[in-house]
Amino acid sequence: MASPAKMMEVCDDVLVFENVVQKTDPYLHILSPQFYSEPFADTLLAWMENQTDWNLHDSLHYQQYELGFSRFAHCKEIEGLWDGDVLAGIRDRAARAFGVPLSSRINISAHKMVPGQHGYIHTDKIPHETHRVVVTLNRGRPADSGGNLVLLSGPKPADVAVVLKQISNTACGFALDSKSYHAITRVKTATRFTVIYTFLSDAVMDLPNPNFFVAS
Amino acid sequence: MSTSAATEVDFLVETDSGIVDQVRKDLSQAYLNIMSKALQAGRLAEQGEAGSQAATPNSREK
Repeated sequence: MASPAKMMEVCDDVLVFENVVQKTDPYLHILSPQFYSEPFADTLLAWMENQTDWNLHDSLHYQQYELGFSRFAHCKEIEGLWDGDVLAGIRDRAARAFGVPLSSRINISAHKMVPGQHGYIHTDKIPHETHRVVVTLNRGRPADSGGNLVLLSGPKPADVAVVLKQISNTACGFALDSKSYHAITRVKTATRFTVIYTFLSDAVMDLPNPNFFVAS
Repeated sequence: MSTSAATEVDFLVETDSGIVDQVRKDLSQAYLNIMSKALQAGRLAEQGEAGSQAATPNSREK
């Protein structure tokens, strides 16, 4: 078993996620100016750039490539991603920022979007999921490159309230409920990567997708 | 939450009105594309149904 000092070291090597700020317009969400340590952000981005095992999700309302990290537990170079102490740090800081307790059961996935792909305005109201934290990773995307995460006050394009810049290694989190309208604008240039932490509900024992990691 | 922490995340939000307007336009265009594809899919489904009914003799005509 690793010593507490060693565990703390792993957490510091991977995670920053400090100065997490709660915003309330158009609905409660949190923003973080730096999520991972710079070395880990670079390692994880390089891993995603070199990954070929993505699943295409192509529907009328959105198109994107997806992968779940539970299939990649053998990848030592990114194992800090699902380290229990790192996840505990994410859970605790996100919970403090949201002002509610969050589950230790966390699904971690990634999305890759290439030019032409987008996610239209929607909410993610899934009974066994409560909150989501989305981390943007890239090597610099111009302001007009598309692929912005957009928060809206309603289901119409005119309801745009917050357009987030795609600054690498920053994060946005929000509750998954009927009010949290969001969208990803169509990607115009280059590839867009995000890592998504989904906090599962402790009230639901029989999960349809048991592929989650557990925070310490 | 400190004021400095709140200020530290302000740079994450797009304030360029040109970019924000473009986002609204992109979403409006995406809406039109979705509606157009949905209508097209509906028409194709109707045509398929009509074709299938034409190919299947009505039981009363037997």
